[in-house]
Amino acid sequence: MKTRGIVILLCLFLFSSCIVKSIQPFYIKEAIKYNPILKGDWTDHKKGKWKIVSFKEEWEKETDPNTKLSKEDRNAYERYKNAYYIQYTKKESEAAFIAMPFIVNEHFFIDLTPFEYDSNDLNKLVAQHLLKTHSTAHVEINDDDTIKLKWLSEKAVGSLIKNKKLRLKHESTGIDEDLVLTATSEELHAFLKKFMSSDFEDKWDNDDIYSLTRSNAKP
Amino acid sequence: MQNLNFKVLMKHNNYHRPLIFNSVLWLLSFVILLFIFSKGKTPITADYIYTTSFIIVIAIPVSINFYILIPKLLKREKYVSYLFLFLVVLFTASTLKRTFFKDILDNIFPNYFFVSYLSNFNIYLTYTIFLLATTLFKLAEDWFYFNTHQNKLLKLKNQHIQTQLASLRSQINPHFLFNSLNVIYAMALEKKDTITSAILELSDVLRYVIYDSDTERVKLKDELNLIKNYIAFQKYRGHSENSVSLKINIENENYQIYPMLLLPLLENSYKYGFSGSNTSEEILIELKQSGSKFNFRIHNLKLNPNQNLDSKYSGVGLENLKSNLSLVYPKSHSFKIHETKTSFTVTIALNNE
Repeated sequence: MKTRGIVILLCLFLFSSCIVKSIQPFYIKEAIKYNPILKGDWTDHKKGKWKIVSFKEEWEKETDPNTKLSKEDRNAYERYKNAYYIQYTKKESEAAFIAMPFIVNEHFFIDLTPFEYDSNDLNKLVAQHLLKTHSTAHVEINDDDTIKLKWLSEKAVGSLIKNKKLRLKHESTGIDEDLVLTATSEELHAFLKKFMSSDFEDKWDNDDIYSLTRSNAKP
Repeated sequence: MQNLNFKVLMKHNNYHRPLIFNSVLWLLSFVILLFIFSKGKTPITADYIYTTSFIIVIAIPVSINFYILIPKLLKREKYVSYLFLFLVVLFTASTLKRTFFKDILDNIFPNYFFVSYLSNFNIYLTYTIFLLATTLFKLAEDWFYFNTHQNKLLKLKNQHIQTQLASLRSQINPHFLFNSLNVIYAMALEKKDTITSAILELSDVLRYVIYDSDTERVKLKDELNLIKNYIAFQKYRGHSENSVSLKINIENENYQIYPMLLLPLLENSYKYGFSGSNTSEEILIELKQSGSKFNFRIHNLKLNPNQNLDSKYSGVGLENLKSNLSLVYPKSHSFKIHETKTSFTVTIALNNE
């Protein structure tokens, strides 16, 4: 468990260094679209391992059909039944995420948020300062059965805000003045629509791009 | 002046200033909308672009409302039709805005992000509030100018009345003066010794007529003095002071009365009530004042049948009197003429309440 806690912190640090975080999800209900192509075991170019499974299938596997679900469990199932359950492992340490697939102008996106945040092995005071935020990544599916996850970077969004081209509710928080979006999911989704149709330089930051190859793929 | 056409006059004084009205309206709208769209924070370039574009687009339904619906329907009291077409315009404009506005804006300004402004429902709500607010603004503007117009009209009417009254008075004074000068002229021809006294008494009468009576109201005692002086002056015309029976019953001699109301009647009686000089015929005059009420009655015999009341001068005097009464005592006076073959009686009743 200690290792798992450290990985969560590591992931939070890695993902929070440049990517845009949001209090609200980036998707709207109407845009959710499950795509089974992401399922499977993947390895990224930074030697991280990704195990992506269907949340629904995983739920059904681990839940006895005769078990009576609580209201909270039913709500959670209804909310995430089209999502993925992702286990991310790097250097033998693991972290779990819920990833919701959704469509923006025919582009495939996932909204990620940490799942089952276990703070037992963390400094309790530190744990109390952490917040499960959302991030989003554009999923680029290539013909050679590889995928690219391009995270929405703070650099691109911060630049739009700084240049007074974007009005989107946000806050700058912490000593590093990290950008946290506080806009509604509708506004975030509308922003992504415009973002995808716009053509400007430095749209994606290379630091926030993950190239994934199937783990069982033959070279 | 009596034929003054106020509508024509006011038409030339139309105070509507569309340029000022629209400048104020749209500037105010811009400031308010910019504040709303920037969510109370310092406006950014995207806010300015969105607000300006929003103003341009919403100006269309607002202008339709201002320059077609309100004047053609609302002001003609076609309320149902107005409401129906107002809703049609509102719905159509909101739907067009919802459907095309963002895409057009994105095409014109591809590098700006207009994502955090109005959602679908809020578009309809904002349009409804904006159109209602601008309608009220327009009606307030109309009311303001209507009020100004009414005040101007009232002032003009008042001015018109004052001019009319001044005109009527100016007709009385020369009339009286002309008669009096005739008397002095006759005395001068006869070289009478009393001519100096006559001139002095006439000057007293004229002082009152020209100077003292040039106010809205005078004291009843002053008007009474005028009558007495006038009667005294008439002796030079050969009419004994005893030929006039003057009955006075006054509670308050400071009672306020419109000046020169009674003199024309007295003149009239002298003119028609005597067949010649040194006659014993009487003119009966009764003055009664009690509280707010004042009554005046004058009676004379018709001893000069060749002259009638519609003759040039007497007609002017009585008509002036009628006009004065209707202007200065509207709905608080009565003026009655009782005429027989042999006598002529005029009764005036005033109420100062």
